[in-house]
Order: sequence, then C-alpha cells, then structure tokens
Amino acid sequence: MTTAMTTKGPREKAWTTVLLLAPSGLWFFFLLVLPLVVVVVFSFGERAPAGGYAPAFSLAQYANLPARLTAFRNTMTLAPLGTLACLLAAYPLAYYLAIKAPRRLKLFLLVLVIVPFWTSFLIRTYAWIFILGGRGLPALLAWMGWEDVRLIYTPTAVLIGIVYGYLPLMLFPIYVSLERLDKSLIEASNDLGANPIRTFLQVTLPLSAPGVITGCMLVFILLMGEYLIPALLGGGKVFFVGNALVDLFLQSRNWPFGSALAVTLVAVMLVTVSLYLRLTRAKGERDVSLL
Amino acid sequence: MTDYSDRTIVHDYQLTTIGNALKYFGYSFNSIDPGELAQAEELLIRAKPHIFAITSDYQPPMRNGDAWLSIAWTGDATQLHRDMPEIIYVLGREGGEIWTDFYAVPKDAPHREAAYLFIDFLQDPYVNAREVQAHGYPPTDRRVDALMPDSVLNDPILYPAAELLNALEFGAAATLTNPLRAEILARFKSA
Repeated sequence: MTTAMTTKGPREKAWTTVLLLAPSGLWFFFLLVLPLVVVVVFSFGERAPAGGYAPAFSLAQYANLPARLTAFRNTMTLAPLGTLACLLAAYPLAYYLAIKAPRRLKLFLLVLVIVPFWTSFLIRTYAWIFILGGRGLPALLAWMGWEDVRLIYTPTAVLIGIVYGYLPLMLFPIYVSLERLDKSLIEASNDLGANPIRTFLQVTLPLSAPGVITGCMLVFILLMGEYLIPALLGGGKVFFVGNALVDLFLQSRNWPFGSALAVTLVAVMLVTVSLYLRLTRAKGERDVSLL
Repeated sequence: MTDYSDRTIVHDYQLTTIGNALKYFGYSFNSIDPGELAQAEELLIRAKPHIFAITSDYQPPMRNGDAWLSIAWTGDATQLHRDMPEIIYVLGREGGEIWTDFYAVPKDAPHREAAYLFIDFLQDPYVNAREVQAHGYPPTDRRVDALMPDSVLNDPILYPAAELLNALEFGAAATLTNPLRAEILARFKSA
C-alpha cells in the first residue's frame, strides 16, 4: 500500500468538491434562491388591507404591469445607453493604462481611479446635483456664451451620474483583458504593415472582447436595478423600475405588485443577457472566458 | 419672474402633493374619495409639463436658483428665507397641511428610563428654544416662547396669523396609508 499515497481517490475528490462549494452554495441557497421563491409566491398574492402580502392565487398583479410601462421604457433605454457611454469612457482609459502608461505610473494611476470609491456612493452622486445645478456647470457655460443650458433633473444628468458611478466597474475587466494581451502581437501586426487603426480594430479589440463583454454585463445588469442615480439626478421625472419598486414596497406597501414587477425585471434581464451573450459569442467557442 | 413653468417643485410624497391638488378643487386635503382623487390626478398630470422636479429634497434646487417655487415645510422655509431673503413663504388661502412631530417610545423598549431622560432633555425649554432657532420649526410649548427673541416671535413664517391656520388640516392615518393615493402618485411620476 505504498503506491497510491499522494493521489486522491474519487471519494476524497468528491468530498473536497462538496466542502469547497458548501459555503457559497448555502449562502446562495438561503440568501438568493429562497428569497426569490418567496418573491415569486408573493407575486401571485394580493395586497393585504393594511399593506403587505395576503395569500391568494391570482394573476391580477401581472395583469397590472402596463401601469409601470414608463418605468420599463426608461430603464430599457437608459441602461443600454448608460452601458455604451460607460464603455466609450472606460475603454480609452483602460487602453492607456494597460498599453501606453509608463510602468512606474500604472499603479499610481489605478489608485487614482479607485480612491473616489472610498467615499460613499450616495454622497458622490448627491454632489452632482450641485455640479449640474444652476450655479454649477450651467453657470460656467453661460459665462462662456451658452445661455440657459439645463442639465439637472434630465435623462442627461442620469447618464452622467451613471458613467461617473460605474466607470471603474467597466474599466477593470477591460484593463485586465488588455493587460494580459501579448504585446508582441501588436508589434507583429505593425511589422506586417498594418497601420495603428487596423492593428487596433483587428488585433487589440477582438482580443480584449472578453473583458469588454464582462464589463458591459456587470454594468448593464446593475443598471437595470438602479435606484439611486435616477432618484437623485432625475428629480422624480426619470422613473426607473428600481424607483417604482421602492415606491411600491415602501409607500404603497403593495408587496404583491412589487414582487410581480421584480419577477418581470429578472425575466427581462435573463432574456436580454442571454440574447447578448449568444450574439457576441463566436461560433464554435465553448469556453466562457471572462477576461 | 412670474412664469413659474418648469421652475416649480412638488413633493415626492402623496400626502402633500395630492392633498394640494385636492385643495385646488376645494375638497378635503385628506380625501380618499375615488371621484375626487380622479380629478386631482387629472390636474396633476395636466400640470406635469410645468413641473421642474418631483422631490422632497427641494432645498438644493431652490438655493441653486433652478427652482423658484416649491411646496415647503415651515422649517425649510425659515432656513431658506434666512439665507435668501428674496424667498418668501405663503400659506394658500384654500388651505393645506398642518402637522406636528412628536416623540414616541416603543411599548417594549428595554431602556424606557433612558428614553424619558432624553425626551425630558429635548423638551427642556432652554434646549428646545435653541433647537427651534436652529431648524426653524415653531415649538408647541409656551414656555419656549418666553425664551425666544422678538425677531423669532414676530416671524410670520414660524408664527403665521391665526386666521391663516383655520383652513389647514392635519393629515389623517387613513390618508397616509391609502393605496389609491400612493398609486396615483406613482402614475403621476410615470406620466
């Protein structure tokens, strides 16, 4: 019995797997799966007279969904737009940091991106009310000649808040993806006669695609549930599904309708994300590469 | 500055926003009658294009000059007028809301004595007077009035004329918890 001492038998392997997966498995079961089941059950119920949930089995809540069509429309417009704006802002920065920045400065510049996030997200978003308000940026623009520019409490303000708030989330997957890029491939492309633009479009961009997709997924999924930015920067006029949910649970205390809305949001997200992943995955690719 | 279109704020709060719309028609501030509420909703949706924001945090836009008119609670009006005297506070002749805050101790609170000590401290006239002068909401304790300067006692924002208060109503519990009113506000925000 001295031969197989260092390799694990199948039973040990199974135990190791169970032990490694148990913590997160239990966590997700009790804090994600069970609550989701509760939400689905609630969505078929009725509002109790004093608010909350009354047991029932009815589709009335789902039938009432069109009452929140505007919320869905706003979310489904500004979430993709916000993701795109974030991507356009983050990619050049990630490119500079990964490929062009001098090695000594890289860490310092990355820290500069992260440090604002040590401040509360709420406070940082709230500050934009003053930057975009009458005495902030519009005053500067008026001094430069553009009078009467209205920024605050518009969809534009919400977009600005989104890009500001979600930039690092988009930046870091793209940065890591570009950082892992084999720089000699770029050199080879140049040596073979491609101009910088062609090199970018045909070598760099496709190789950074996993990072781009991960960044876009992270930002898009979080944006679909966003509440704070439209609440603060939209002035109650840019109504997201997140805002509708908060009003339903806290003001109307209409838990069943809120649950139906939440279930629909999750369903819409699943459909959108699967479609997106299917469209962006190259044919024949089986591996899911995140970075 | 008499065109308040796109310079007006209403609260993200069904009690005051729907209540004021109801007062426009002369109905009760607390009405939960579906017919009256339907009229109030129609008025609100008609007014929406002229509304700058639906928010209860109206001080920043008022201070920045983005908004020129807002429904306001007394304390905010005192603070705004103190810093920007051009802002005035008006009680509508149709009426509106009158309210009062109070301190409550939960029935099964483990340290009631501490709670009572704290409440006693805050209700001490000297402490209460300083609090009033800081936040600008009038006190409900006559002993505090004796400790305040004339400038505060004669301030029409904190102490309006008695006849102006007659048209005001206290918000009722049934109003605050009414699901139809909450739904109307959500539809107003969606519109």
